Amino acid sequence: MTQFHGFQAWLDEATRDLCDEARARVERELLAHYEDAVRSAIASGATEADAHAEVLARLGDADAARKGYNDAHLTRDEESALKDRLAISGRQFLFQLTALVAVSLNAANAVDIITRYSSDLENRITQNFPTASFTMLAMILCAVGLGVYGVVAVRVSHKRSDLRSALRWYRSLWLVSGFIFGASYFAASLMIIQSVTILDVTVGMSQIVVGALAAIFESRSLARKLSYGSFPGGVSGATS
Amino acid sequence: MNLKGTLPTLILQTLSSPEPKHGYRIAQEIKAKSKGVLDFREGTLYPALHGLENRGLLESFEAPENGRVRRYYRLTEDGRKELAKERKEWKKLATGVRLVLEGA
Repeated sequence: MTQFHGFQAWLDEATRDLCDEARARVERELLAHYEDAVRSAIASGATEADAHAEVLARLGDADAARKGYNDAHLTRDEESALKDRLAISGRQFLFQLTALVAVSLNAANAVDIITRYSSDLENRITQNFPTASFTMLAMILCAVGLGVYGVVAVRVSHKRSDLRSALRWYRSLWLVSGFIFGASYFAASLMIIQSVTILDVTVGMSQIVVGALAAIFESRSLARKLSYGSFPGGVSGATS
Repeated sequence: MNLKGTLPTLILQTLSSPEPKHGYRIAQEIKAKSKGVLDFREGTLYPALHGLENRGLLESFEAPENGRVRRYYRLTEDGRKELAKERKEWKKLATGVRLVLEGA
């Protein structure tokens, strides 16, 4: 049993950097190899203690083996980096999806207002112009939001220190844009149409809710990252 | 004798027979065929095997043997091509080394 501990220590050292899946595979193979070799040595006349010592010596330097395994398999750090990159891609997709929903809601509301007043040319020109401008403004805000997100996403993938500022950016960007979009709809509806329809309320509230949810989601996701041990692209920056 | 750099070629050669083999058997065959001249640290065998598998020169599968699961390896078509290339290069190198040593 004591002899087997020598092998276990060798194995722990050789596989210490590997991700769980690779480590399990290597351990299974090496354990079977070790057991065969010990059995064979005992069959050749060695005592059990000598057999263990001989087979352990034949395995060689655990540090050299570790380097070989690290080259051939995914290490824990590499696995974490991959997961981080996938998580960032996932959030980018979610952001773009919510931005698309926001833009679509703006466009739908604009079309609805234009349709309601299309029978009256004068009304269409004088009353719909501010709404169209607002829709344009909303779309520009969305585009700026996407741009800011893209810049932040690239930066956080390189420096962990930027993650803290990214967290503040995300939170404020989403909350502010959500409230601006929502409140603007109520204001625009009251000023232009002198009434607020069900669609206006739905669109306005949706904008606020989408903005708030996105702010919460991004904040939580990034807050988790701040306490994470490793980060893609190397952690070269200060962590202030 | 130091096997540095040649272990992958020896592994490919050992696996050139049709039957798949596990790591321990590959190690034993290399030692037996070289009549003990070629020895290597067995801890380096598996990184070499896994590296060859990553390059697509070997494929592996798990199968039960004596009540436990073992991983077996066999050559792929690319592995056969690589082995043929390595053998050709090795013969060329051996000829060159022999000519230099005999000339001295």
